[in-house]
Amino acid sequence: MDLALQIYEFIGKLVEVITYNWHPQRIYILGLGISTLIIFLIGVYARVSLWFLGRHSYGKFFLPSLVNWMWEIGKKIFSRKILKWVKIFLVDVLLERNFFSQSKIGWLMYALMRLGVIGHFATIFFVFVIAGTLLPWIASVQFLGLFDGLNDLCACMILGGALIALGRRYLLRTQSLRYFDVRCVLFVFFLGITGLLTKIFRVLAEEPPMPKLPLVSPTYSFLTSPMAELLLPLQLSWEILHIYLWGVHIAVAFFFIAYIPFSNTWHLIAHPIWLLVREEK
Amino acid sequence: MVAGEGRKMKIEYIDLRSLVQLDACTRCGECTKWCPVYDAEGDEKLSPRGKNQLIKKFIRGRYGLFSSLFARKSFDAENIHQCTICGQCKFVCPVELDTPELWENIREAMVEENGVLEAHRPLLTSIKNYDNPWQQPRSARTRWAKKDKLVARDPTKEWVDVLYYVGCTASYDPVISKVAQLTYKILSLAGVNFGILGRDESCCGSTAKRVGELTLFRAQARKNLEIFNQTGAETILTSCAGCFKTIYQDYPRIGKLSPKVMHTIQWVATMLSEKELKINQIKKTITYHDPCHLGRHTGIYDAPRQILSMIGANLVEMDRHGEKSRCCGAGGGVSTAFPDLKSKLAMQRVKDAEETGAEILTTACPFCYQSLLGAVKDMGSKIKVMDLLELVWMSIGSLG
Repeated sequence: MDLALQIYEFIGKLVEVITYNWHPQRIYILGLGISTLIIFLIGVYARVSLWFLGRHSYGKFFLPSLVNWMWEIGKKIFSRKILKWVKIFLVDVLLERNFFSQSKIGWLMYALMRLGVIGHFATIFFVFVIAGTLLPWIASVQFLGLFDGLNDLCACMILGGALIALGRRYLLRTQSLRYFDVRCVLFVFFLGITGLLTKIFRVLAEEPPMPKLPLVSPTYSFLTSPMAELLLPLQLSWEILHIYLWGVHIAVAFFFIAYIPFSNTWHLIAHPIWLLVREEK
Repeated sequence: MVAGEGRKMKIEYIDLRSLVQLDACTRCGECTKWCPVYDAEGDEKLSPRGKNQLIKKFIRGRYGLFSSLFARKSFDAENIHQCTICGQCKFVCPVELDTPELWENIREAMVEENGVLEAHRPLLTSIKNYDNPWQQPRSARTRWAKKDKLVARDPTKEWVDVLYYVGCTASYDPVISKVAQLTYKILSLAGVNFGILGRDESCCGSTAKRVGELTLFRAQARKNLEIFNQTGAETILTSCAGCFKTIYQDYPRIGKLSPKVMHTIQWVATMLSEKELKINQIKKTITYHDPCHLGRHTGIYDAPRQILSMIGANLVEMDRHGEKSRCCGAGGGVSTAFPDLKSKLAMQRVKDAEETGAEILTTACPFCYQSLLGAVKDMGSKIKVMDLLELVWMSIGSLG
């Protein structure tokens, strides 16, 4: 009964957190998030259902086959070899060791974008979900300042990677990049630019990331704070600019997530799965 | 309409593994830097990345959730067959796709729906009817031995330690039959108790597997496995890289194989290092071409180089050697269906060899030998093509 009560209280708290202070921004995020999730899941189904039309021994119908397959994969991961899989995930998927040995510049280009996007999502998750709602007591200026710095670093990585990719594709005309997915890179680039400008405008508007959180730390924000100082003399309505650009940035981010299963970026998901299934014969 | 255009494939014959692989390709293009076919033709559709995209588009167009939108119901099969399955793309792929397995699987799915390519049909019919792809009668399989009156034991009737599996190319091609004769002589010189199957020897099925005729391959494999296991020989020795890869790597997936499988080169390297065979030093500058089936597919890079070093050859490596060795173009059904492409690839490989300044270009695969020899003749090159066993015989034969 205690457990049931605790679960009930937790759900109640979660609902309270979600519905707390309903304002347009929250409704906007929620609407975009749900739409993105639906589109993303349709895309995943379109991709994965094709895999199960192929030759396999997991069952006749899609759903039971998928469950059997995931069960087998789960058993494989959570076995005595879990450390091996962790290592494979870190070295082969996140750091792409093999790509490093083939092409250093190619590796740098992809690594900057990939790690930048992952790092950015991680900081967003920490700042908004952990510090902003669930554990507000850890949201000190110094502590969140580190995340401000990390966020700036991620923005640099994303933009750097995207610029290298576009430069190699259009200026150097690198043969191997003639057919790569430019839309994805443009998405990433646009995501980086809008994110960077949103943060600069937030600094200029002197608004915190969330109502209860402290303002952006100028000490740690090595990129956005100096850029905000440069733009300050323009004396524009930063609050309005911030709100609109934030809306655009969030829309691009969600659209990018929804786009994953419909584009070549699906390899971000298919690659680790391939590493898990490649040993089966 | 070009032969092979407008073909389809059945998705139920494509492994789930292969379908995941197709999606895991990042389109980074590393394969395009190394693919010999792409290098020769410069056509993106012929690169591993291009083929991958083509297959994905077809599958989504025919089977996908939005298939009516994509509406791609067939594709050009020639692109898929213009690949020697050399495995170079597998070795450079950052996401470690098992491309040889993928291409073979895709070809299988295409054959299941459309049948084989017209150009491959005579080869496969010949395997079915005569147990060899060269359209020769079974009785001619031992012609190479009869020529020099070489008599070997019949392992189905007598007990032997080693079963020498000659292979179709060395059995029937009069130019390459010297490889079979030399293997016979070297084995005899070393005092090995060996035998050959003679007219009972069947094609290993490598050709059928590479062009996607898996039903025929499985039938050949089962037939051979039965006879190999019956002989009671401890070792199967073959001087053909294609047969070696097939028996060593593909047969165990079909059934149990009791004897150990070795390529002649491995066996000779062991014999030479154990001083079982006496050697004379040959002072020649030689470059070695790694056959794809012996190198990348089965990982035998050191044995041939050890032999060359032991017989005193001055080995000069080509820029692309070992794991990065450029394919000679003979494999994967390319030499039959696309002879011009094969010639281009072989000529490029001969150019690689010429750049080293070597007098002799050697290899350990009769198929590569055929291909390289043809290119040397076409180019009027001065480099001499020799099988590695010829060099070994030059070194030990005079003492024998």
